[in-house]
Amino acid sequence: MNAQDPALDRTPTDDIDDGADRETRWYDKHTHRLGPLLLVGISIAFVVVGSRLDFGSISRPGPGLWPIAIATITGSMALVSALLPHKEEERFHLPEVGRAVALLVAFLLFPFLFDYVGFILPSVLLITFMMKVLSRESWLRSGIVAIATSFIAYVLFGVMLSVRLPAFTLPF
Amino acid sequence: MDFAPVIEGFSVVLEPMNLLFCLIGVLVGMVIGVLPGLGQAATIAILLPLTYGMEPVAAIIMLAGIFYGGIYGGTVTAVLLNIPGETSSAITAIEGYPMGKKGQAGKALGIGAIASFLGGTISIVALTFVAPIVSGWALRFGPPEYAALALLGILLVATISNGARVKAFIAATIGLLLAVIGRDGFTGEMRYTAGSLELADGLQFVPIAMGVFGLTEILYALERRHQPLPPRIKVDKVLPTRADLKQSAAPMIRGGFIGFFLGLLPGGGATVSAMVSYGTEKRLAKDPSRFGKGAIEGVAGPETGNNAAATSSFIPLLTLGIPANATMAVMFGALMIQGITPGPQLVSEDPGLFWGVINSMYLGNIILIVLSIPLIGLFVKILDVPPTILAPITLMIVCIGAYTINNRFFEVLVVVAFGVIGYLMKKMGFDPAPLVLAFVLGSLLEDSFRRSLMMFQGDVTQVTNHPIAVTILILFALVLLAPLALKLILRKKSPVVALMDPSNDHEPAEKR
Repeated sequence: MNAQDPALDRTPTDDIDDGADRETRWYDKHTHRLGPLLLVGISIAFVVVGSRLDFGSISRPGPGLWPIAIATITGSMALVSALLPHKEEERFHLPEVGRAVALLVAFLLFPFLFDYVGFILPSVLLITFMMKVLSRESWLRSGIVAIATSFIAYVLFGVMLSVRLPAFTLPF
Repeated sequence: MDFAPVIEGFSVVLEPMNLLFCLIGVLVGMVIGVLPGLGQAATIAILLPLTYGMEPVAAIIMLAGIFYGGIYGGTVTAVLLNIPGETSSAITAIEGYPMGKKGQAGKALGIGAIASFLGGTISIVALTFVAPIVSGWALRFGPPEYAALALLGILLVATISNGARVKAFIAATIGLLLAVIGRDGFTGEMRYTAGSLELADGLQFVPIAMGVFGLTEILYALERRHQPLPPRIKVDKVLPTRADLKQSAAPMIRGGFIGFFLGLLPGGGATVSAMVSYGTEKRLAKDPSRFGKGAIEGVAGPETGNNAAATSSFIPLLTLGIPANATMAVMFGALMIQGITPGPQLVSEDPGLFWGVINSMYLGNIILIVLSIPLIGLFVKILDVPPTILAPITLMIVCIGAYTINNRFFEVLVVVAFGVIGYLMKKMGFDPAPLVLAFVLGSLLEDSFRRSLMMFQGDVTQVTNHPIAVTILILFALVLLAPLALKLILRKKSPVVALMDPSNDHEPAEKR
């Protein structure tokens, strides 16, 4: 949002894999079918697992009736969607997906480290990583925001709201 | 009507702590509403952990404040940047941004604030009288009525969602499937848990909402952060003139009533109300050609409509236990966290909470108008905070929230899983909102459906002995078939239909 931010001078396509945009490959016409087809597969899995449950009868429905009925409806609609013409999908651009994956890994590591080194250190690392590595902010700005935010969050959640957050824990 | 509980509700909300949380809620709502990127559902989902240690009344009062404060906050970016901070403000951008370009940004924001206050107030007054009636009526509901109502709610949310309708229905059925996971309520048998103890009680709503709304938005924003923003408009004189108020009076009253009634409907809500109000004003205008070029009625009507709807959408939640939209689904989750089951019994079993929340909206609306006009300058400054700072802070709050649900890692995994699911859904053109709403209503729907079949001993024609259920099912069929019928009947586009058309020229710069 900052107009002076040099990162904003770049266009959305700067980071994008050129090869992917150069021409429409044959599989580009069909990638929109992947999601619905995956859902067809999941629906089939739900039906298969559900078939092990008691189906009951129409006057006394068992635990299997409802999920099998809903999975059948989901699978049928997903199949229809897979056959419909492609309209609203957005392309997946590898560098952006890479950033998203990196963010998710950092997000998973963050609470995992709570029990070993407390809340503040992983929090400072997470915010610095997001700002410096993913958003290419300066070290100074990343550091200040990371430290300030982590301490404020600790005071707000750990002290004022009594959430169980260890500030620092020695890893040995 | 017995007014004693209503007056008691005022004494609850006037307690200093409740007043403080109402103020905090409205302020936080306005600030976050200003920031494009997080909708009300996401904001409330992310901030749910803040309410864990709070008193139930204070928690719900604060979250309600975030909800309607956020709707006004969205107006600021709609007018100044042509980017609606909230989806419900997308319509405001159509007239608000051109008004800003003509040097009337202050006028548009001022009328937006007044309209928001009026819409909220019309709706609260009506809500005070209507809610107990609906509640009393709903006490007679049995499983067939609840099954029909839940079905209608899911259908309506899927119908009005963004993207292809078949994809919205698929998203809804995925939500129903996810609700199946865990112990069967009738037999106690485990379903789809893969032997996991964590899944024995089913998936929890809060990490799903945090993932689908919160994390998804952060991931999605990572890709869009380089997109240049449209030029910012400077704010001029804030207060609208007497002539502006006169011109806006009738649209505001119409918008208030449209919003109130549409907010009551499952699937209805702020966005649809704003659309219908805009369509109505355009149709009634002496010179419709002014619309799209900065007509003040096009801000006044929709802004009243979206706030009125936001308030009245609490009625189905508090009286029937049926959330009318995704934000109300998150509020449903918030109530459940506090150990409160929303439904027809709430008004008699917990009148303090029921009337406390409703009456807090009177005060919240006063706070909204008192704060909004003087704080417009501050909101404009908030727009300067780069998303590269906001995203990590939001992510950290999501993570703390997920971890502290049960102080274990499992919920963080659920947030990540649903963040990825939500991200993929958005990329593939599936709106995730129907998934969340269907997940919330899933167990009620299955439970009511199975109980109904047992009641009818398998003979579904016995539903005809339940006139309310039959009426709702007829409505269901009408909603399902209406788009087809509309295509056949309406050769010429009405303003409302035109607004819902994605190919419309008036589409604002960004919609969520």
